[in-house]
Amino acid sequence: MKQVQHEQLTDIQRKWLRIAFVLVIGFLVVWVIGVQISRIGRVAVEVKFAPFDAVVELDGVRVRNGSVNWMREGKYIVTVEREGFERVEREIEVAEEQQILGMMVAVDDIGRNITLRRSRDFMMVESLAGGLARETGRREREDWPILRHLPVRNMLFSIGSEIDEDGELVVVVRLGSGAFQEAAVRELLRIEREDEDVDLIDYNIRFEGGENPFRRNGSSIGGTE
Amino acid sequence: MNRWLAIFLVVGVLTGGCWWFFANYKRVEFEFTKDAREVVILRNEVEVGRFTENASFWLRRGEFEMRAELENYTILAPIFIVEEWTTIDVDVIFSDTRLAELLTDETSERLEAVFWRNYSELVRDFEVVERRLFLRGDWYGIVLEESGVERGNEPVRVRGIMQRVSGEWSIVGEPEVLLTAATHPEVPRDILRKINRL
Repeated sequence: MKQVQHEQLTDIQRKWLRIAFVLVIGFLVVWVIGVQISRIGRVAVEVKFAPFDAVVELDGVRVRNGSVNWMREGKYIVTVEREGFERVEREIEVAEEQQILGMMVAVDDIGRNITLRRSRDFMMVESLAGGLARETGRREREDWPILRHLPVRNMLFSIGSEIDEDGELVVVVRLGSGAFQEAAVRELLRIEREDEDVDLIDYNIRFEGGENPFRRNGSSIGGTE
Repeated sequence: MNRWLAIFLVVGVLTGGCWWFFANYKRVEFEFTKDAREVVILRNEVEVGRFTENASFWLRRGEFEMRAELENYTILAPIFIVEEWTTIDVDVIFSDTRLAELLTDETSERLEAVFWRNYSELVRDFEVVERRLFLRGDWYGIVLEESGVERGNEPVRVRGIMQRVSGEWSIVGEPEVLLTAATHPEVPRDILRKINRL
């Protein structure tokens, strides 16, 4: 009799176990599908503002600090707030998987204490920013091979670079005077000649300190025989 | 049994042959961008094909060269590499010798008169020091140099481009210290490079 009761209980337990198992698996499947659906049209953005207990908001919506957030592409206003620290506000553009990194600056003793206590957060952001800068530099040198040869500085001119509003590289030639313009041009042509990856015609080149009297602010010039 | 073996061998050899052919030979179409001229295709200086109008050839993978057969003509991008089925643009242009012959003093004076008409205020300050015709003589590149510069100073140099369209010459864009694809998007890239290096 005891044996039968034991077997009956086991059956009931098995039944509930099966139901529980199916429910758990079902819940997991629904959860995974839900998560995947919620990520459609979004990109992974790692937000890390030291200290990581600071409140980070994008367009007024709180996001997880020190973690990955899934966001739609576009421009956002990021605000970061934490007692004892200077408020941070800046515009960012989310276009692809990326990291948004930053470190808050302490303004009083509370902030300074937190900075000491959470120094690991600051060290992590610093190291991530360093890695990001190295990766960006590597990518830029691949995309714009002329960067391997810049900057060039001498007594007559300097040749450097900057990124314009459209994210394009601009080669900036700063001249001591217009008299050194052709010397700078020769230097650029030497770089092109010696590095087969460099094609000067693919770059925006801006001369500062010299002048081009033929330039008429983009007005069209025509002429016939 | 022997018959089946023979069939198997024949089918195998044919399949292998087809596979080898298609793996090594690619169909290449040649299209003239402007005027058609007789063009020879060479591989290691050995002729492998010849055409006078748009044509296609089966060519073995590797590097080839095109040469215009007519004197005074050349091909803009003569070297091509066959890797896949592809279409090659054949741009027959004047040879350097022919372009130099066309650029007589009279021609350059005529073209530069058009240029200076647009920059009459600078005619005393700059002079053309380098000039060259390109492609089929329908592009003209010049290098202008600042004149009357004090001894010890290097004159400013500016590069300009003109183009003949429907028989009439006009200045393309604005003269620049260095020409780029951004400042002169309508000009063939090879011409921009060559004028910069004049």
